Amino acid sequence: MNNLMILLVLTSTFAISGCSESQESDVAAQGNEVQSLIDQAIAADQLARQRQHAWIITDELLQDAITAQAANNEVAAKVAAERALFTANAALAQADKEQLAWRARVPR
Amino acid sequence: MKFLLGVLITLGNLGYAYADPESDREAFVKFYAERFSNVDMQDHKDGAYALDKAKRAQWLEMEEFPPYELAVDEGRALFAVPFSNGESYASCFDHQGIGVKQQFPKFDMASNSVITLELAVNQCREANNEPALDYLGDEMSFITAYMAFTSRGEHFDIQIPDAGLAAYEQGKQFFYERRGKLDFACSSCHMTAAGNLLRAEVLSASVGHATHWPAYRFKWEQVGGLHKRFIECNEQVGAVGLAPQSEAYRNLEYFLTYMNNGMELNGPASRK
Repeated sequence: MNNLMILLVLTSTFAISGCSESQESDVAAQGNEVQSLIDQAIAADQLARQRQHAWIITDELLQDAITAQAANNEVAAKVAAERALFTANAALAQADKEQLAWRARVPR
Repeated sequence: MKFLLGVLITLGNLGYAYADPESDREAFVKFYAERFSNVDMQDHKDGAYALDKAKRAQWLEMEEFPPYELAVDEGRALFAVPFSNGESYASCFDHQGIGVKQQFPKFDMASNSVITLELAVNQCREANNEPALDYLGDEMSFITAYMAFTSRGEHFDIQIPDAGLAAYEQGKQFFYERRGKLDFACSSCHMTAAGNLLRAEVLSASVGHATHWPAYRFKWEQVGGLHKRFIECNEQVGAVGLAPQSEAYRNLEYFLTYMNNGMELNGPASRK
């Protein structure tokens, strides 16, 4: 009976510690993902700035993502970072499109 | 057939790329002449107040006590203050800096860039070992307000040498390119929608956009230059504004002012 109790305790301990490690690694992975999104958004925004096509909202969203990340709110940080990346890429797409599209607006 | 089509497209693009500035200007003026057939072209120097009688009446009343008057007086005094080496602004400009605004912006061969009046003021200071002024600051606004005042009644006659064509084209591209979250170009508001209402404001025509700067804007509660307005316009459509006197804005001013050739200068002015 004593052996059975020891086995039960040991199994529970391993299960709990394994679960905790898994949660910690999930949080770390999410943190890495958010940081990667932020880095990608910053890089895209820098390109848009160089092309004089950056959008104000990208910077605002990046600030939101960084603030949420600092507060360990990974969910909010990810949402803001994804949106920042989206708007930064949209600004670059606009710059690409306008490279030729502006000519159609010149009166002649 | 495909080859012929390719040649035609290439020739078409070359035509777009190398349209000469004077053809551009004629087409630009014709656009507004047709759109506002009941408005004298010269009246566009008053911006939106040329397009709306009620707003014009209000504006004329405001002009009876011009809010930029103090800026002109301050500018006159600052313009006369000698630099520490004994020289002054007058030594840097034609005609001692009196009545010269219509020459700006101009293309400078030596630096291969566009020189605006504000840039010339700071170049003058730096050449005389004085610190450059803040382009968005009061002192720059006052000095250029005074210089603009001395050019009232003159007409723009901007020249574009061959070397300046690239800068002109870059300014033209900036004017017609959509930017920002709202996907607006300068031309979206001031050509396509000119004369229409944006909320309670009448959108002015670009054919008079360069004539009256710097301007006292009631929104700003101060006199400010054209580049301050460029930044504000860009930000209003959700785009990140550029630095005042950046190359892109100087090129934009070069294009816009060339489009205003022949228009009378009436700066400084007041705007809502």
